[in-house]
Amino acid sequence: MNLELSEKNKQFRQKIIDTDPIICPERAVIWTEVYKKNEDKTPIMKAALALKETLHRMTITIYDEDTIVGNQGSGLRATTLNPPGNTWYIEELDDFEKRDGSRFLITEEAKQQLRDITPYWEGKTVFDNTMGMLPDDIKDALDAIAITCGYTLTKGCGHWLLNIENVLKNGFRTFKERAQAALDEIDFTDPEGVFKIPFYEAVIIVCDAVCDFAKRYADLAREKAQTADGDRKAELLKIAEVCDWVPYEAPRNFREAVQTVYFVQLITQIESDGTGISLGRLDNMLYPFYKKDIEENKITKKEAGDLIDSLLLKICSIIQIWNEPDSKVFGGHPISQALTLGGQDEFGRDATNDLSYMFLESTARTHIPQPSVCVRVNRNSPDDFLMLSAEVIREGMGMPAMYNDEIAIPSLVSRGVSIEDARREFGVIGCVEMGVQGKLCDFANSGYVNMVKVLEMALNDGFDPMSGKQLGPHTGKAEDFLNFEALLDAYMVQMRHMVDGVVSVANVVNTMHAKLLPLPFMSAITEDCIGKGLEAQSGGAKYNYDGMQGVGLADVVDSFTAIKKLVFEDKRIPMKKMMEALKANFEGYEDVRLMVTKEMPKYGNNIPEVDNMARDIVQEFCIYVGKHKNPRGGFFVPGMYSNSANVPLGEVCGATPNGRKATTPIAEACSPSHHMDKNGPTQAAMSVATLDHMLMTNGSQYNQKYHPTALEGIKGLRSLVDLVRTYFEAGGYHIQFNIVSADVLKEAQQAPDQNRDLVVRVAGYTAFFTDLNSQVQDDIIDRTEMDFG
Amino acid sequence: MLYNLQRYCIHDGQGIRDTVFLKGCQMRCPWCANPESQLGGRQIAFNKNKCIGCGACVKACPKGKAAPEDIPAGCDLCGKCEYVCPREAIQIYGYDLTPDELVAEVMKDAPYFRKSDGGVTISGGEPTLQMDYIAEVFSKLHDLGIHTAIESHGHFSDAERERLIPLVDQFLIDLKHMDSAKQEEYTGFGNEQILKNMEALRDHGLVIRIPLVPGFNDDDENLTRSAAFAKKLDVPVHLLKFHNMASSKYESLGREYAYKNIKTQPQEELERMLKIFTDMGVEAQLGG
Repeated sequence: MNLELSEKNKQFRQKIIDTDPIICPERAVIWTEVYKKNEDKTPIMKAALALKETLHRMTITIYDEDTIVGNQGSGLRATTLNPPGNTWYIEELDDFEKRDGSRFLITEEAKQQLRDITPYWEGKTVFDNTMGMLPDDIKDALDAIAITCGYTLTKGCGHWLLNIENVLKNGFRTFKERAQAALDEIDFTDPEGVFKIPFYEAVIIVCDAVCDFAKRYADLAREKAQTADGDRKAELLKIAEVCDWVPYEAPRNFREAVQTVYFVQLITQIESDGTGISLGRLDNMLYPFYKKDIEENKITKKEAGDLIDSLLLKICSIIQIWNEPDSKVFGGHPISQALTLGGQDEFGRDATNDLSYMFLESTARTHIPQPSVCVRVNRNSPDDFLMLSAEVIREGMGMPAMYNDEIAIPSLVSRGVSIEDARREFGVIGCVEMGVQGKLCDFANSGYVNMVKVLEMALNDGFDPMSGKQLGPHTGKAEDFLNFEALLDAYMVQMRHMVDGVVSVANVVNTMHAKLLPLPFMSAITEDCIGKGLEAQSGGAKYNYDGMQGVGLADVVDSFTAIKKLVFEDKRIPMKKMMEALKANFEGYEDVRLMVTKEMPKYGNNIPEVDNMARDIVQEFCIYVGKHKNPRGGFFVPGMYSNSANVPLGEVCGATPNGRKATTPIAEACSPSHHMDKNGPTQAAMSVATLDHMLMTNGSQYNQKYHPTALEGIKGLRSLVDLVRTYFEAGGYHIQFNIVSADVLKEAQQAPDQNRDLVVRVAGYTAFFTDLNSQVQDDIIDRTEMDFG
Repeated sequence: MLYNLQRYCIHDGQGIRDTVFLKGCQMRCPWCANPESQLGGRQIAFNKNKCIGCGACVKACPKGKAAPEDIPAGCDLCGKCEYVCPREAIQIYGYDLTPDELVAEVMKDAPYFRKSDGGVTISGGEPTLQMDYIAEVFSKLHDLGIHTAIESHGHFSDAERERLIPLVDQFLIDLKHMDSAKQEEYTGFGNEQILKNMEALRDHGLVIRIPLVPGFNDDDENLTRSAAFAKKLDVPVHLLKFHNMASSKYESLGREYAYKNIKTQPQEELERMLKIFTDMGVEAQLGG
């Protein structure tokens, strides 16, 4: 594996690492101007005009190291803001630079610009309109963090698994022509077609705007070429030639194809203000261009590798901001641009190719947290490919993460996706969500259910002791339950109530996104929006999901196990005493805490009795979530992942019967509770594989952390591959590995400046360790470091 | 009696393995990396670095423990102090599993063994001190089609060896020193029976393991003689570099570790030692 970057890419990488993220107000300012000027237009027309104007006026930059061009704002790592969604930023303007983690710089001038435009949006945002409609009890549940819908209430929908292949094959000219042809067929006398007219007009506007945006780079490159010399001059003229052609026209070679990928990825971010904008199977879709260029001797493998490096670095420079509370849920600037490699074709044949290997090598070479590289594994995946994956994992970035085709494909089919689409178009969205390339509108992060809070409610007659509010129905006091099943029933009632809560918020907020934040660019490329004449978030896409996650599984399972055994079966602790111990946060009840922590079996140790309970709890949650329809003719899909939400969700929860103290983090994703997986990685993985991952179409997540020595030599890599294969055969969907010692992390905490390039896997995504706040850092250090033999 | 069951062992023998550590050994090698393995019965260890001085153990002790590090007269290893310790500073080594229980435990990893051509290794202490036990475990594992290995000091009788041959797929046996007197001086036992066993096991999956102990057996003369012996038997050799990571374990058992300040051999020195073997045509490697 060649780990040496080209000189230019090396410099660009260093520049990214050394650059502090900034807030760029340009998009917000232009967006506001356009909306003010066009108040009489339809929402989609306003959105199209705002995007057009932004692409036309925003600062564009070609960096000295650029081969692939494009930038999101007025700085190398510049986030945009999206006032039509939520003007949360106005309260935090003076705090961005003071943040403990996910810090941003902002100029006084930018602050003033934002203060000037924000009053216009009052009462017009997705957030305002949603809150204006929600009933009080749901607001209480949100305030108590029994449920959270922070993502869609503050950010754009995001989570698109882009149809880049469509652009590579057709170019935006084709989309414009298709929209024009459709427009020619309808008029205002057609009651069904009348509102398709502004939609098609909007699509045409954005297709032209994209063309204009690329040509601005072509012009800038030519301008810079006038004062450049030698190789750089030729390079700039080459950039101009490429940007004159793509993405309006379909690319003719590998380099144009790579530039097209970046433009689509970038413009999606500028339009939508969402995270989880995912690239899909670039190895697969770029391969025809690569193969042709190689066969015709137009490119060398090394040149192609350099281009891939440039693409990954440019993707890494894209950044997004979260509000303060959500920056804890999603610690460390995670924008979750997932890139999927490997996998199969529509007939189930393995589709790994030369580029799959080259992208993996590039991942190791660039050594950056974005994009988030994912590998699809199936029974025909070549062993060499998995061994190279393990070798890249050993580099210590937590990438690639491994995904099981044999779970994902039937899972998607069970949610209405055709078998051909499931096999060919399955790619990872955002953190771990199962997606269908180019054909899916997925509000994948519509909310979390705090399962530990649900447990507290089940023990307290629907009351939440922390917030002091009755959040759920009356299901009885813990002391009155005659048997364990009564408690379990109460839990299920409260769980269903909270799922309904997330659905209620999502139905409102996701509809508000469609109404107030339409996405004409995304609709131009997503199947089958042009065919239907319908915006993507309004039902234009072929498939439509809204996703919701449960968090805190292991705490709930371990608590139930403790109560079942100690209170009901062995009668060693009366329920009254257990409840007193929880109320006292185990102060003065050390005997109870010792009994539950030291004597009770725990999830994560391959103990069937416990693991089956976990399976049942997940199953009930998933089936119930899946029963709910969404506003676009699709339905809700369940997931079991937490990002770093397990920290803030734990902060609002009291002590739990598994011995967990009040306000400490709850268990993340599908993982066992901290330090409770006493039987090592193989057994913990078997417990996690017990869950029915096929039901979790919105993705399930399982992290393991290894000391680097566990992957030493060919044997270390071989064993990791065998471990992944065994876990997947047992039914696991996803697994990812942090290869770093706790000592290294502690050192980085003490000396962040010397460790700015330390990349760790937080959860479904990777981040620079020093960008995380100290609590999330502690949490990562604290996760069981798996021992090695 | 066991003192540990380590899963996902990937650097000892083929594939992904579970290693079972049995308690009790008749040798007393001063460099031993597992001092908790030497005594045959249960024993208590106290790690003062983890202790926060909360006093819970003192309160819990029915025999009048005076301080966390104190083992009171009449201590019957009831485990109450270990149980209440919030930091796992007190640990009792040694627990029993019946052969069936042990087989059930390791078979939880069977999917990994089958995927990786791995299996189960029984180590120690010295496993052959619990001969009936390991024979039963190995036999049950073989019935289940699981690859078996043993790590031993090699000092067992001809009869024991013959009993093990059909039950064990791989014998990982220590060659501590070619000079019997030197070995006896350090470990209390000469090497005649060990060398004899090795010769008899050469066609039964023997791997010679040499723990490279600074100043004891890592001189060129002994290594050259060892290499010649391995060459004669035509079996592979694993050279295990020294490490002093056991220091804190000795401390927690209240014992002095003679090798506390001895450092691991430098990599280039290890490579040179390896070359002595490979130059003589022995299939040798660093590490297991």
